[in-house]
Amino acid sequence: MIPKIIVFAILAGFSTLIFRMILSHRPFRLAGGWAQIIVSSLSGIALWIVLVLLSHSTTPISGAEKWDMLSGVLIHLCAFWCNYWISNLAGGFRVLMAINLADQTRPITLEEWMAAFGGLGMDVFLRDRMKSILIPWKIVSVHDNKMILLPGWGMFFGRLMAILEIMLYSMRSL
Amino acid sequence: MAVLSYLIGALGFVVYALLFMFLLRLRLRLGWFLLELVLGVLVHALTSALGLFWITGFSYWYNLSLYAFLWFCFFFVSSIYSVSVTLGIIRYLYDKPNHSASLEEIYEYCIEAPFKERAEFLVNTGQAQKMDRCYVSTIAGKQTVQRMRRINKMLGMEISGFYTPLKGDLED
Repeated sequence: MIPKIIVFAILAGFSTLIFRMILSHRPFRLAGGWAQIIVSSLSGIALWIVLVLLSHSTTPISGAEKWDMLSGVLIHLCAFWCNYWISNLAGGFRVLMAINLADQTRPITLEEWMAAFGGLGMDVFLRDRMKSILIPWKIVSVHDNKMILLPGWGMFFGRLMAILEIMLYSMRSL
Repeated sequence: MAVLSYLIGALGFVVYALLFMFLLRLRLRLGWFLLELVLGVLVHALTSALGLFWITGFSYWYNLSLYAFLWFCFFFVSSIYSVSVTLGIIRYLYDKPNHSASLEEIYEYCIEAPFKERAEFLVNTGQAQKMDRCYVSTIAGKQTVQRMRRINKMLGMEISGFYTPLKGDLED
């Protein structure tokens, strides 16, 4: 038999996807995918806590049930990942490439495909990565048309990639 | 017994991670996504069966919740490592002697090359067709796009591939 606290965690965890759908449409629409994921996850946790409190209105949570609570928290963290992955699956680089190609009325060359990427092209894509992540996060600096990896965060991520390469080397070819 | 149940979940994950890294080196025909999924389920089934058999009072749910959480974390790190263009730029710079490269070089090796690689992937998986030097979306490709658009609509997502919401800033 599944402990009640865990059943509530599974139900509330799955409900985060419904919360996400509500938060992504009017009149409750929240701007930004991350805000939607975080608020829907927090709503799921709040629902879970309410359900647990209602089921324990007369009896306190026992020592053994504290382990169920820990399991519930882990289930909510899994629900958060699921929410994140659904967004990522439908909005990734490869999906966008497929969408851009499907939108074309005639066969296109690789150069035209790259120019069509996201409606702005791959040149702008590189600048977007520089302006949105690499430069503001102080990972790289750009001088005289040269990109330089900065000490601190730049070298940290560089070393992290080197470690991951040892662990997962064949997963990435480029 | 609760601690032991969680411990089995953690141990199961360690076994999974080590097996995954080993199997990657064998370069199986199975894609890494399927490998993570199949291996994840198999190792979990095996460790859970062992737990249920050997430990009295073993809680499957404690074991599952910790294992699933660790699996998701591992999946996040490995997939980001495998597909992120931004991390690709960092890796490329890290491998360079002075940790620097010209923007043209970065574009060629970290933007153009991964784009070509993904284009080939779409061709190999039947979502795109290459005719001479041109590419065209196949029926399967269009169906996938329709499915993705449906998910995006359901989640109210507008995908652009760009982080900066003010695209105009980037066009300058």
